[in-house]
Amino acid sequence: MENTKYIDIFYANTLINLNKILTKYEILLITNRGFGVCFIALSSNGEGAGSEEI
Amino acid sequence: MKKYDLIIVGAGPAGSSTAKVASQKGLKTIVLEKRTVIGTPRQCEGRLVATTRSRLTEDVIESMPKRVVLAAIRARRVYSPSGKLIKEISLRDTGARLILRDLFDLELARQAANSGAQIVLNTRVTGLLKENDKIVGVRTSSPVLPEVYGKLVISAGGLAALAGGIPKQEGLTSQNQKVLGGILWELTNVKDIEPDVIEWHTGSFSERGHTHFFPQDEVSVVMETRTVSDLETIKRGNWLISKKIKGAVPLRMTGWTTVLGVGSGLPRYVKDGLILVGSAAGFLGIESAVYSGLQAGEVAAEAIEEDDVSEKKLSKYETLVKKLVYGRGEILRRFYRLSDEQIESILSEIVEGDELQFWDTVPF
Repeated sequence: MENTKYIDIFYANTLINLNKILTKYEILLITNRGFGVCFIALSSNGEGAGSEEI
Repeated sequence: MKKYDLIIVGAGPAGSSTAKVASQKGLKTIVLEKRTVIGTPRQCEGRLVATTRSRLTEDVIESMPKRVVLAAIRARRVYSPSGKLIKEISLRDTGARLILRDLFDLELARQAANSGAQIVLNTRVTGLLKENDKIVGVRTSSPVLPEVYGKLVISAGGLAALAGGIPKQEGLTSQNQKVLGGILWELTNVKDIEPDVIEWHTGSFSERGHTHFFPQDEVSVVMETRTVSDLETIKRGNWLISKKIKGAVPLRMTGWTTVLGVGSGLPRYVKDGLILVGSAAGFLGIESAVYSGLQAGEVAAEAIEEDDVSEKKLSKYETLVKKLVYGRGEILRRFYRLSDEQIESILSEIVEGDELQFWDTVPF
């Protein structure tokens, strides 16, 4: 994770399947952002999940 | 030989919550506590965070005398590794509280006792008693009560149990877990703090990667470090903390422990005649301890009434507590490894109105 340079932000309606999400992404903060759950992660190449449905 | 319906190992929030419910339901319940004073030494900083989808936090608080609650937490201030205030996140509407954890544990135990549970102090459980491979009770190091027999055992011995007690002995722990320990300091003569604002200081100045200020009053905080010498390291490495605690006087030094890497949970939380609750099950936080204890009490009462303490019968508990395995330990583990630059980048993404999951609210 030392070389990761990019921030990756994506959203979900709920925290369901969080464990699955954690195995896929380097998520470091999770916030309730009014309209849903916001995941803030580090990404090594800037080509992360974006707003992709998870 | 005296035989109990329920033997609970540990009089922390999980054990006492189980004991309270089970006793209210008429189970003959005994709680075995290794310490001589329940709640002492203080087991954590005493942050009762809000549960976002139930009234659990409010119910627990309402059942407590006022002296247990220090303050409703108004806000969390997030500081970058360079000591800059990144964000002040309002927690007014979350219901999160700062509590005196030692009094909290004592009051929960009092509620359990008032409901009919027997509590025995100074009694360390060393292992399970079995007959033909069936759990029939527990063995203790107490000469007064060397063996206790019961129909069902609840392991509520906290992280120590997870690291080497009944859960470990019964092969219910996970390989990925790492128990992390440190020091909780209560410091007074601290400057520039507010009694209802948690400060979160991040950065590699600390061996732990970050530390919190949990206020106790206008001039006192509880803060965590990894080692005793870490306090001096932090003073040298972070100008802002140094400014605040330069003239501080320590009043209390106690150990804290957490378990990292419990995001995926344990393989099982029950087996024939045994249920794991609270930190002994790898659930992190006071709310999880209370919640799992309450559920265990209900399931235990039903199992005893039907004279069936089989793994199959008790698996109902696993369904009820599944929601407590939500990755908090894994997130913490990841945060500890970040560089200062990465922490700055991550924190800069927090926007006005955000509620930090895991730090201030929990998803159950």
